[in-house]
Amino acid sequence: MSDASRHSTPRRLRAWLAAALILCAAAAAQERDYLNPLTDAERELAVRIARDDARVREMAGDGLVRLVYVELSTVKSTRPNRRGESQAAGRFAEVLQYRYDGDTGVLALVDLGKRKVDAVERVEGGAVPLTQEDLKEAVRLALDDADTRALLGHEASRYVVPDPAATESPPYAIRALLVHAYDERDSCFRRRCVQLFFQQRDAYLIDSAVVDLTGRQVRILKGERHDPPSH
Amino acid sequence: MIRLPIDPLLVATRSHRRLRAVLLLLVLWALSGVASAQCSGAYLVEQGFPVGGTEETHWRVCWATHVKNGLVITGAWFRKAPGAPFVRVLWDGRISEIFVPYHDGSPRYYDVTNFSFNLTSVSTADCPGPSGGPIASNVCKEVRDRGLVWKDYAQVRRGQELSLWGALGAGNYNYVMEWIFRDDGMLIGRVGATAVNLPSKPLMTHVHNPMWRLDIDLNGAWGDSVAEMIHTESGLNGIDNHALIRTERGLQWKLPSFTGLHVTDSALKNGKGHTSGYILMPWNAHGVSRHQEAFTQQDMWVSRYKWNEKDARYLPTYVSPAEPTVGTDNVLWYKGAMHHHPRDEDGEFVGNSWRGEAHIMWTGFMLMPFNLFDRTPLR
Repeated sequence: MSDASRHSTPRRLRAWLAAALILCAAAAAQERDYLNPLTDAERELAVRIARDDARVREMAGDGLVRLVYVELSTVKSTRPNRRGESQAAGRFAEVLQYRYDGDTGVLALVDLGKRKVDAVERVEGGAVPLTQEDLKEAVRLALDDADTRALLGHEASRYVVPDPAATESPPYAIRALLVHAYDERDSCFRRRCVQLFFQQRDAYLIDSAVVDLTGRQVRILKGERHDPPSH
Repeated sequence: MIRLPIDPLLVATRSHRRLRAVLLLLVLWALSGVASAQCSGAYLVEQGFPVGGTEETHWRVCWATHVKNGLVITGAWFRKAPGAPFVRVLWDGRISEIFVPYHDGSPRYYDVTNFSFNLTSVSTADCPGPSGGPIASNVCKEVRDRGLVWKDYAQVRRGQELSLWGALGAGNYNYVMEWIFRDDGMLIGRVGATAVNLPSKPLMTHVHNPMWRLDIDLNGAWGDSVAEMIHTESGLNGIDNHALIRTERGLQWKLPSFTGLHVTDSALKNGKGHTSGYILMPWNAHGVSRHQEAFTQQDMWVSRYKWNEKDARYLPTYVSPAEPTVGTDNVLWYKGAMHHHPRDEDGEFVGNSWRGEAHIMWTGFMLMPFNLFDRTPLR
């Protein structure tokens, strides 16, 4: 073996191992942490990509559209990894928006790696969750309503929507449920309605407010009060 | 072009050998990352059993919190012995829906998909130490004794389990979403309903129907099949049948049939050469619900994996037209039911208010290993 090859061989060895390391590290990085929640930067990127997509824009229309959520989606690859296990097809986000006119949702699957929308789907309005903005709007409408204020009395202004991260409930809290109307005669039939419950410390008022977000109407729903059947 | 030397050991100096060793370790580290969990930090829970003793079994769990679904298991692997490989059990496990119809026909709440409910905050009052505690502001971890595993006269073995749970703040209700990973490879999912009865109808009977979506990937997503286990009686004989589920469909849980869904992977076998699997069966079921809505007419469903099929209320459309489910990537769905008949213990009217706390009611499912071990574990 010549002197030149003696010197070049370790260099080659080093280069080969370094290349192997880079390849392995890249493969590891691709899979490591792909199940961790989206970062704020990824969320922002996902929303931007979704809103820029022509198909999403067409489905969302020109009216009032509200962002409902951005979530990690662990879409499976059609190929297993080197150990024969399932693996994620990449880093994906689901972006759901709600369109008020037409009561529909628009769900976009965003491929964050390729920075493009992979799929777009229409979602029935009834399957689109109530957003915090919906809730705030419903509370605002209710607290502006004379009947609701009469129900709550002089403490009306003290009612707030609790912060989910708070460790203690506020003394006057508003809790909400989305209303599904099955009867055509119901004023909430095919409309986005929210029922607001009013909690005073450890008790709830049995009367509640139903807010029609589509029609921006509020009505008081009298609670049912009767003694339980004795068996 | 980079070529490997014929015999690097002959030409490598001591320092080169050191360098090579370091690089090889780094390569192995990188490869081990591929083989280990795909989550990290607080989102990764590693739990060996028994706690405080020589490890026999091990669970590796990735979790996340999602809008709507609350506490979601984004991956779960089980290792049956220290030298054995991890077997992936769940690709994804989540509560897809909690449907709550009231006896007078209205309201009919979809407590998961209709809301962006958050998990409530938790503290050490929820999950005290020393072997547990909050692992996030809204998720508890508990490691606890689970009672007897087996007893044989004077010989006895108690078991342990890891529990991860969070409570969905669903208006007046709280739903405790709990995932339990046992030392024997059993996985239990359960939901507990508690807090305050519907303030506008606190005395109206209703049913809470949690529906789980369980994306079980044994030994990879491919090659999985599901069979319905059916027990019948004929004269003095009991007969057990495994009916392979060939296409997507819903199934009813029949009490006298001990209905279960047996999931297997064609390539996953134990040391005896027996096909390994898991059996899905009810846990703490005191009844089955049948409401007007079509998705509530069945208790278990088998569907093909699709990224966008996550909403239980659309199950009838997911399985129509029915696609083949043999030797492929399937998702199982399970519906539990809690029939809540209000009682004085729930609360009382005080003036124009309702005051009281409904104690927790539970329903859930079990995923029991079948031929995963070679012999009795935890001896």
